[in-house]
Amino acid sequence: MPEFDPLPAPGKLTFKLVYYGPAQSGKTTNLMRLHDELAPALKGDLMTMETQNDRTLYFDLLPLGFRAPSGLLIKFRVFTVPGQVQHDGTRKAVLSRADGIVFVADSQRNQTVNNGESFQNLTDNVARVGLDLATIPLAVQFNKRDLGDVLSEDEIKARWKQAPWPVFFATATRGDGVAETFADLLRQTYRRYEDEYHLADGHGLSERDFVSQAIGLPEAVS
Amino acid sequence: MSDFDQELSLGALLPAKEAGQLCGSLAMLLHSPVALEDLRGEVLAGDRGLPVESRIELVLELEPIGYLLAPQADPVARGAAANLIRQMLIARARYLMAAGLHIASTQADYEELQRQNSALRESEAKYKELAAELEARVAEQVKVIDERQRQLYQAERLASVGQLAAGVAHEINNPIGFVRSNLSTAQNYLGKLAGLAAPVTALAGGAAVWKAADMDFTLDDFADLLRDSIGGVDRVARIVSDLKGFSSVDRPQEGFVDINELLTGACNIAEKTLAPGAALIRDLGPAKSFLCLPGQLSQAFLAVLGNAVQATADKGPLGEVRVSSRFDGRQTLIRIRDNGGGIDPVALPRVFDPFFTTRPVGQGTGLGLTVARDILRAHNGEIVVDSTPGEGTTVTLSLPD
Repeated sequence: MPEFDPLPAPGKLTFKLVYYGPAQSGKTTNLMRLHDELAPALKGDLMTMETQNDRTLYFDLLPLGFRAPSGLLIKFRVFTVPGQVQHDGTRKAVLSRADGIVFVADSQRNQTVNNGESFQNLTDNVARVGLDLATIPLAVQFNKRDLGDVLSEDEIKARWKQAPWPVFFATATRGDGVAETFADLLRQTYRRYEDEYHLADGHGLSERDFVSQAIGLPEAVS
Repeated sequence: MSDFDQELSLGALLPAKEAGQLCGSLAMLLHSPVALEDLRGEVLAGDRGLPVESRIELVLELEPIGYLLAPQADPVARGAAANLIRQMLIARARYLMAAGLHIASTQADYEELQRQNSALRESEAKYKELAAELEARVAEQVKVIDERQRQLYQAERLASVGQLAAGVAHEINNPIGFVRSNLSTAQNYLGKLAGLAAPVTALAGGAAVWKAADMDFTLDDFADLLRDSIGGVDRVARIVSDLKGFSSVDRPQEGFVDINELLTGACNIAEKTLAPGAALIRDLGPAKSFLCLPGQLSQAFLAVLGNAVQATADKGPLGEVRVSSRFDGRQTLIRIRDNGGGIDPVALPRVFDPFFTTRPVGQGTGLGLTVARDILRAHNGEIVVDSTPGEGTTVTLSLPD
């Protein structure tokens, strides 16, 4: 559930979005690209906690935000989880109270098992922290399209055909697909919580404005 | 500790004491009274009542979480001070979030371990239960196999005894039949010979010849011999008949049988093994006819009787075995009492154990009482052994109506 702070007036609505996925699939790279490329009205520093050999041990945090026509501050706190298997406790703690999830998979053929195990871990942890996979906004991103021996887009689409979640293809190191994935998660997030927080009728915020204001890049929003 | 991802207020990031020291240091550096205020304008540290016009927002993530007031400071220095404070706040926030997350993840790991632990305990308990169940089932199966083995042994023994008895009966009954018949005919002929005494002695010299041949004695003794022989042959015939009855060659299935008839048959066989002069006393009261397996019941009676007879062997002519039967309206009670040496109290609890015997190797199978109890139980009856060393043993067999 997004967190609503009435003070200081006219209030603040904070969404917690979490980038999940196997170790070294590019979650932190996604966040770095978002930090570099997005141009919302408010953008904080990318807070990177402890790392070890380029691996996230705790989490990364990117704050983004803008003001709705009503003056309501819409704030996004975008987190990454540590992907390594042994940090499951940390992963679960970061996933708690999430309002939306991006699952970043590694496109390389030899990472298929890791992707599967990580997604299974996501479904397990979603249930453990009291979230519902059926209703929570979730976008799937297959990253590292630029590497050799990756699963073809057709193969991936065929495999995820039965799943209800949209699948995106990205090369986060170049920034390809990063904003698109995030934009889709924002769209799902808006639809999920629009009624509850009266985003349209109470704060004059349409879905299109919600996404474009958060992204700040008109060309990334189709 | 609250959730690690909770947004932190200025008060949470800067404890009052540290905020006070910070304001003191800044006041010296900026040459101005200094204050830190939170979002609601509450002074957290420093001087009160400073004009708000000079306040600078302190931003942690996106939005201000408090203000720095230093009205008399140089604006550039004031901005630099605000930036310095922000860096402090970020460092502090990182520390607090990492600490909070560490606690949360440790708790999550601990819960996971506990969950695994309880799952392990559960499966351990399940395996223990299974093992116990398995053990019980093995014991039960062993018992069943033991019992089956005994029954098989017994059945085979009965069958071979039955075959032997049938063979003996067949082979002996025929010769016994004609020997008995011939002996009767011989008695008739002897009568005719005896009838010759008067005419022969009336002849001249006849009396002298008769006397010389000692025919009076011969004829008398001949009659005795034939009588004894007929008695002996009758006894042989009875033994064969008892043997047949005991092995139930001609009554293999269950049927209505007088218990006393079975007891008498068993007594007749056991009697022949008594020590010379020892007594087997039958005290058979009115007993009921009984639907049973006669061959098996005979076997049980004979096993108990055989023990009793054997127990009295040392007593010689003083040995006594008493067999009694009573029907008390609910059950038939058969008591077989001997005045033998009794059973050692140490051995008494084991007398029904299969293959337990105190007899020399080769003489006892250790199955007599075991099988007897099986047979009684098969008839819903029971068998109880009482014994006093030096005085004798009483075995009570009860058969319900």
